[in-house]
Amino acid sequence: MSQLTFQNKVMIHKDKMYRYAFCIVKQRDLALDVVQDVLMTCWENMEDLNKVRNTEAWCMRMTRNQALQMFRQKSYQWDRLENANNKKTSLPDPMQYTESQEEHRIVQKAIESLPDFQQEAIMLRDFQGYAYQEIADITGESLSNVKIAIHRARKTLVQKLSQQLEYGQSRKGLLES
Amino acid sequence: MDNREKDFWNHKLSEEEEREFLEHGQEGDKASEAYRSYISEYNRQNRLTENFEAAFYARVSKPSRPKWLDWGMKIAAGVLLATALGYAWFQNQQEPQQPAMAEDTYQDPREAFEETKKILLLVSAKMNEANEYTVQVGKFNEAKETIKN
Repeated sequence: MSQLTFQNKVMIHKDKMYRYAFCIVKQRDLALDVVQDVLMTCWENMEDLNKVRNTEAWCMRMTRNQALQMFRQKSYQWDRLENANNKKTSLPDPMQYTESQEEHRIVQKAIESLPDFQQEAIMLRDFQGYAYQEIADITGESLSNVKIAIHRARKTLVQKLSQQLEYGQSRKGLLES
Repeated sequence: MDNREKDFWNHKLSEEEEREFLEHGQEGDKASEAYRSYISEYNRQNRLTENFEAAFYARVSKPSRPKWLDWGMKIAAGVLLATALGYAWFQNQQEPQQPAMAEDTYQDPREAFEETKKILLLVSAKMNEANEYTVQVGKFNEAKETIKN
């Protein structure tokens, strides 16, 4: 496999691999290490990659295994999205920015409160757009377990989000009046 | 919350409809809107930098030492260590048991001979001197016996 084939078959998924690794290890530097290690393994075993039917799912599964292994070795704290938001250089209207920041914080909190596998399933389905069967292949869980996890996760999320955001809206209304 | 949103949260849409809802959903309920906005922001922010690929390819294209060389070095080091240990053991076995030597002796035989000669001469001189006294004492005893008699 040449560099061009590697680029088209493996490297193209690097962002998805990074996001997935980040979802598991919850630390940006560590997620980066995970992706680098997985890519290096893929590069060193390029011949084996030709035999793989779904390279993307295979890469994601390797990312999962590597991330879990690293996460077990070191325990890292959740690197919050809001920290990354603070690094933005061009900000929209301050009022709008604060509002969306607050909403994002609420969504993140709600996602964080989910059990690990539900977080993972939601990440793969809603954030990365994988099909249910692909999620089952990546995580090694059964298709029904994946569906149940996503069903429960959404149920919890909509409950928490509606509650929190409604509270936020009414609080804002009160402050304005 | 409209029916479509309800169906999404209740997990009743098809996979394609779900994707459509998340990617191109119209403004609606606050929860759905916040969720969609968060996903889009999350995916936008969590990307690897443009330098990542270049750095990776630079790393993998670096000429690395062939694996056989690594193994060769390991084997050579092992052989060298075994040879050194074997030689040390062999030397230890071959070395004759040295007799216990007195301290302050001479390593050079000639020097030792000269020193011995000196000491023997000294002893001899002292013995001659002592002998002279013995003769005198003998004469004295003889004279004493003569006077007594």
